[in-house]
Amino acid sequence: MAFVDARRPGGILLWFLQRLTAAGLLILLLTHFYFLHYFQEGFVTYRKVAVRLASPYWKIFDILFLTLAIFHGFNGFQTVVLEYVHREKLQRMLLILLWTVALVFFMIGVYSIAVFTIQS
Amino acid sequence: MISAGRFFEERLQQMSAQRYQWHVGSFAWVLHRITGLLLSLYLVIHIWVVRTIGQGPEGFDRVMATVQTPLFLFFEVGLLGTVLYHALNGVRLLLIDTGWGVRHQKGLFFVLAGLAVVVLLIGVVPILNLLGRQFPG
Repeated sequence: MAFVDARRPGGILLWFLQRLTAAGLLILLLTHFYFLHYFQEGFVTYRKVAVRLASPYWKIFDILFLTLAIFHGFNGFQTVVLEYVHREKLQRMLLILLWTVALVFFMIGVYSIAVFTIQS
Repeated sequence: MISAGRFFEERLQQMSAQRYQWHVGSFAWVLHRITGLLLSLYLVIHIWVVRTIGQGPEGFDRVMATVQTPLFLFFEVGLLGTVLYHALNGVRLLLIDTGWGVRHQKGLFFVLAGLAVVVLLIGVVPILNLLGRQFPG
């Protein structure tokens, strides 16, 4: 068996980062749920979200949350591809596609959060 | 008396048959994968929907009204269950990776499954609340 570079897909660094982001997401997700669905009564509306999202601290929180979630989700997806797709070319194509989609949605998310200002 | 070759062949067959038996651990692992893939898919949809916050109050509230109809609230209970399973089984996996959880993995599964049911019940309350608002009385 060939040795796998720690930083490459299937390497120990990504394995470790998957666990690190898992622990981070537990805390961030709990906070997210609490403030969005418990602290606030009733339906989610523009006003409720806008007040929160206008704060730079919440912007930082949301961008951090987004980053960890995208990494964790797509790194998990990558593990599944590595384990079930063994044809080298197909595997590489799928991984490129996967991380492209990840990057696109990461940018959509960061953009939505970063440029947000309250409109009325 | 059977030959050594035949003996090992049979033993190997037994072992490979054992590997495909379903245990709590392997069941938990498959479910972790499935819920993980579902959550990744949800994340992408979530980003796409929530990005409409940039369209201002009218656009965003119209989208929010669609995704908070009874049908979507029903799916939301499923989403909560999926998140809970993945998060709590994830805690179990982290404990297993530290070494401590290896001997307790089976027990941990049931303890955390119990915790999941409790949190699910607590989490369903605000969802039912919203449902109640759509069907007054």
